[in-house]
Amino acid sequence: MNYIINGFIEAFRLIFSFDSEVFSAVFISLKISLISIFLSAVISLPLGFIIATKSFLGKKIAITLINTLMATPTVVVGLMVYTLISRSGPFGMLNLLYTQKAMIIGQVILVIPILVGLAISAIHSVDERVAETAITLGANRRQLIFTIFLEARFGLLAALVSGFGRIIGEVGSAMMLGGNIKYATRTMSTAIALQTSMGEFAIGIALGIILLLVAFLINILFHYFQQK
Amino acid sequence: MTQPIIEIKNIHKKYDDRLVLDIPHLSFESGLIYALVGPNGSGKTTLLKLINLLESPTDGEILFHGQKADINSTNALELKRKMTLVMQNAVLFRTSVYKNIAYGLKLRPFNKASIHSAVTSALDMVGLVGFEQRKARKLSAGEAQRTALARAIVLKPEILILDEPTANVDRRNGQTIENLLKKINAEHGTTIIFTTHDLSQAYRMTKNVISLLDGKVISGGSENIIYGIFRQENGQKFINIASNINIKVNDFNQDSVGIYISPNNIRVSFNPDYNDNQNCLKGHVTSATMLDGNVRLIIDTGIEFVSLISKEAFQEIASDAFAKDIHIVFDISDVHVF
Repeated sequence: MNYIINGFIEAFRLIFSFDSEVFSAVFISLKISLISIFLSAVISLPLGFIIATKSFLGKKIAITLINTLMATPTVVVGLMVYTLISRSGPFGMLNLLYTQKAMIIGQVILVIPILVGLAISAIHSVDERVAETAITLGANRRQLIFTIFLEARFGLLAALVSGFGRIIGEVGSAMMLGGNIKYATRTMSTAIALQTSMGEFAIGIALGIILLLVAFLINILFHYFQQK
Repeated sequence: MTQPIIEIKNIHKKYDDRLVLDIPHLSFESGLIYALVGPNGSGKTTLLKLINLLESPTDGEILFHGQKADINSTNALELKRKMTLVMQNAVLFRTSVYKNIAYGLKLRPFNKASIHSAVTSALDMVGLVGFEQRKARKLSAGEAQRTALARAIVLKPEILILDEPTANVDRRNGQTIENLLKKINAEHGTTIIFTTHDLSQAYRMTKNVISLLDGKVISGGSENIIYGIFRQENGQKFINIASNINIKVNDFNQDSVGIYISPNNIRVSFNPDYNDNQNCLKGHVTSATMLDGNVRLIIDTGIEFVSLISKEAFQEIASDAFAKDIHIVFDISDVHVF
């Protein structure tokens, strides 16, 4: 039991002394996840809008496929990207393996189906009459799309929060593509995995606490916007 | 004669293969109020959507100030911005009352100060001052309908189109909306086109009543609308419409004074057989005209009634139609009291 209590005491010491190893992992995690979620959103939100609002051949199949991909295991994405960017892979010459860029590629691939899937349902949930109302009030095409996004904002925000939650805590692809290099590609989740396997609980617990805190803060922000 | 603000020429509208609207000609003069009446499914809302360029007719054309309007034309947006449609059960955007009303102005765009003053005056017109920061989706039905109305009138459109503007509001709110529409029409010369189920409302608002039935305009919107006095004898309710003419009715409310019977529901016969659930009146035919394959009869019973019967039905009575007295028969349940 003692090692748990000591682990917690040490964890709080690490947090409050702004330990460089702990905060480097925090910083790298946040940086990579934020860049990934931003890039994914740029791709996914318009894609979700198009799928939700246009009719085309194979639409149902596309939606089913997206829903299936939402549950892709992170190690599968890691493996896939690894084979592409490893030295002998087709993109080996770009020297991406074990870099933050590789981790971002993995996370973007991982989170796009989630964002697209949730964006589709967020846009579907907007009352159909909203578009008609916007047109009767004089909206042009661009203003109409903006209005629909604005009406779907809570659903879209929820999609971003879910996506962020999925990637900030994932280990599989981050470990395979980043290589868990201290001060370079070591994130909160990969650090926790490594330190725990080494029997170093304090750093793991400290990072676990911070990870939970991040999740908590994001949810508070989300609820704040929802009530506005 | 001045050029109509809207002119409809040979419009047909089909959904799949179902013809929902068939109007050879209809025009609306600028600055007047028009009421479109007719039962559900008569094509009222479709007509409004065509006028508002939300949908295209299957064929035919709509002219604005004599100029052809087309959803896909380059000036469609400019035309759409000259009018606005307030839908039945209008949906409000998921934001404050103020931002809802300011929405159309921001699209155009106006500057902040003029938006503020326009929104404030629109809120005042609909009696919602103080509601600026309220969440639009939390309003009562009446307040929501008035917000939707404010959101439209703030744009000062040339044509204000409303689909059942008082259908989902209580009597007091309904009255407020009626007065407001009359005021907008009088003060700004706005052309107003609205649909209603309520014939008495239609006639309260305007003498320009257009009746639609099965997608067609029935000539003379006021046919078979008769006013009288309510009576009750031996448990049977009547509307007394002339000294010796009582029309049996099922339902009424305190203020009911009018009835309407669709011309399609009035049958004619020399030897009527009818039961307690029907009205039967004696009269004579004063006119018979062909109307889209049917025959439109005017029967004078002391009060004139219009009956629309099939060509076959007319053939049975044709030889003596103008010579002998004839009876009109209609079900009590077909008498709409308002």
